[in-house]
Amino acid sequence: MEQEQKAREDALLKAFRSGDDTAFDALIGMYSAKLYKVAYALLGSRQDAEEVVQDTFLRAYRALRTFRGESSLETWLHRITLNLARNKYQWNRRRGEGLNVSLTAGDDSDGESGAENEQDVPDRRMEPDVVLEQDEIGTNIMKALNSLPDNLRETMVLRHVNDMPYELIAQRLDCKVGTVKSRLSRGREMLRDYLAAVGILPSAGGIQQ
Amino acid sequence: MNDQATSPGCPDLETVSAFFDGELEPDETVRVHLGACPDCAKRLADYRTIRGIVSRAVASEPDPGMNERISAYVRAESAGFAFSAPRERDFSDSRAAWFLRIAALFVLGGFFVYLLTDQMHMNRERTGRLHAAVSGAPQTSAHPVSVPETGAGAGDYVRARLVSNSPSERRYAIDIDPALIPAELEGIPEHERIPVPFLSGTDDGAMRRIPLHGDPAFDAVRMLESIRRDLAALDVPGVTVDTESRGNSLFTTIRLESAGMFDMSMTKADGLFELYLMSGDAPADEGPMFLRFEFFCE
Repeated sequence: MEQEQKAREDALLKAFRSGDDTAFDALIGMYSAKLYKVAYALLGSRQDAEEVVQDTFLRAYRALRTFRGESSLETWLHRITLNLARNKYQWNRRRGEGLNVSLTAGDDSDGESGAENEQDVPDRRMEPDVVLEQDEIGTNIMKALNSLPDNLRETMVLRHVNDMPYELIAQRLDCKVGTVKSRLSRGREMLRDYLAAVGILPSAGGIQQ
Repeated sequence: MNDQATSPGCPDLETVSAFFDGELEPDETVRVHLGACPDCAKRLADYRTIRGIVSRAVASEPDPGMNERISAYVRAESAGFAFSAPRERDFSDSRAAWFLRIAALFVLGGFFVYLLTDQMHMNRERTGRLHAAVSGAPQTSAHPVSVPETGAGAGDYVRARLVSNSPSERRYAIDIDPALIPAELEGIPEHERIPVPFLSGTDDGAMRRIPLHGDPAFDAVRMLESIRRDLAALDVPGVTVDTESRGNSLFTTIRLESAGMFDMSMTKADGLFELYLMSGDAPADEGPMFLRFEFFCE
């Protein structure tokens, strides 16, 4: 599977470098959704996530000619996305913008992209109080994630988006597998404490009898 | 938050977390323990709950029209962007060459830090090492300077050479030997050599504080002045340096006219500070990037 993807990636890169602009659209199709999910998970805003993915591909478009392929294209794109998302996150924080939590369609600032989405919209079969509870839990978990140091937050997000294996997370974040292991452990424990404090994990930390 | 699980005999939390992720080497002892220990079982149950709610909270699918918007945006923003073959330039004008020069200057600055701190130690041991160090003719010795281990820049193609050795000063020259440039760069046109081809997210403008030697005998003023002098001598198109001394600190702002042209990394080992500016894969028209440092004495 990986070899197939690599072969396709190589073919598209070659085509793009030889002037076939449609090859770039194919690359967008291959990776945009994955990059969007990571950006969204880090930023909590559909609009911000899409902007980050747009800028990722803009950079890639301009730099692909000199891309040397020492990391995979996907890893390279992920690194650009992570950097851009990190910058945007810091920028938002400096500007004091609150966290956008898009658990329900249309609560994002982007009216255009407020299309209903199965994973963004609570199941309408759920009772209203259940929906509210889910919203509250989602808001709390996003707050909890945002209370983590950046490196823990990013590692937690990558792990929880597509169940990314440790080795791949290490590649994306340019760190060692042991670092990923340590960050995930610390991140989980911090989230556990946070969620226990807000009553979402009522018995967490309650290992004491 | 504890670093260890709460009960004696429990594996450490990293092990429990890695077990939860299926990233632990098979270990029957751990598996049996985690299956039997109520504390660990509780922790694993909490991890499952956390995974569930985090995954739900961060999940989002892109809008169906996103790819078309990206494509249109990229084309619009890149209109007029040159994709023709780059103009041939001398190696001396290439980004790689400027990288090497800048890296060399920073490494030189780092060596000054090292040498001056080392000098303070020598002054304290004047009867021994210092005398021995100046008794012979100036030596020439190669000191390989490590460059990052990843990327095409890996290798030791920047070397420091001891050219002056006196009681008051030891001075190194930095040589960039084309013969030492890694073989993997061969075959690539010189103007396209890019040492480390990925972004490292250093364009946030944040101040980086660099602690220097804490020895009481350390001559902070002299050392900071030497760094300032080296930075002032930095003469690279598109790079300007401002320095300001305040107390025992030297504040430095390096402005790179194009954020996409350079990445930076900094390492500290054995008292030697190495700063590398590396050309990046990003385009060269992204506006300025500021690198800000405070060299300070503890």
